[in-house]
Amino acid sequence: MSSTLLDPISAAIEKVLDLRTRQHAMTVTNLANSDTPGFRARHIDFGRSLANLLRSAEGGPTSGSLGEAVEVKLADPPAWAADGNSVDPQREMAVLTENQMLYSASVEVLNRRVGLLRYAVTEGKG
Amino acid sequence: MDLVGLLQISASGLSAQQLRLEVISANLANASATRTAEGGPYIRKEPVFLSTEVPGAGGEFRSELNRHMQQVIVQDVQDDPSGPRRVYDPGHPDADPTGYVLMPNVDVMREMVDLINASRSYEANVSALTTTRSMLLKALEIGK
Repeated sequence: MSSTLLDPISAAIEKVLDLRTRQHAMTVTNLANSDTPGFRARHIDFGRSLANLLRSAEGGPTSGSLGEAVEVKLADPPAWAADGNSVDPQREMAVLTENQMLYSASVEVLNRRVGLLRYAVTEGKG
Repeated sequence: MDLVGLLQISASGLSAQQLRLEVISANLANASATRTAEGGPYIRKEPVFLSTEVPGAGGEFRSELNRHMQQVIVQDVQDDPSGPRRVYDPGHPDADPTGYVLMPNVDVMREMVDLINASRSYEANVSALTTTRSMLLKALEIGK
């Protein structure tokens, strides 16, 4: 999916935001199921998923859909977890915060680029 | 599923933990109840959590990815199978001829630990909900 208005970097940030949203969805699921027996915590392999997405944007083998590009990892339960649950609440809270901050940062970067565009279309008066 | 759908997952976690707290309260309140409507002492209850797919989650990410996004429901509240405790207390009105009373199988220490766990899990879900909210608001700022 390439947009005519947005440059490649903004398009990449768009994909980062998509991935951050998915990562957040995983964290929310993990936290909601932190006491469900047998539930395995899931995380997105962010680097690999983003690489897949960017490669597909350049006309790579996969289509640009998130469902194909995102690689999900299921955590194995620790040996002492009697109920087979592998959610580590501390880790999830860390991921939650980190992901939110990077999401905000990405939105800021996107806004700066939109600002540049606005500056250009108003001939430097915007 | 979009960010709004995630609020539903957090909400499911909140209500599951809330119900767990209610069950713990009932266990603690009945820790010494030797008589019940069914006869015999109170039996400790325990909620059973089950993760399920979010109903109505559809759209672009339907298939693969959405399977990973699951809410939690309380499937059942079951009786603790361990039998009642036999306590020697000849003065108790429900004591049998040998002086033993059947007391509920509620361990107050265990309930308190469970209570803290449930309360922390509840807070974690609130944090997730708050974060979803701030991400939603941040997304509205795109292009400003």
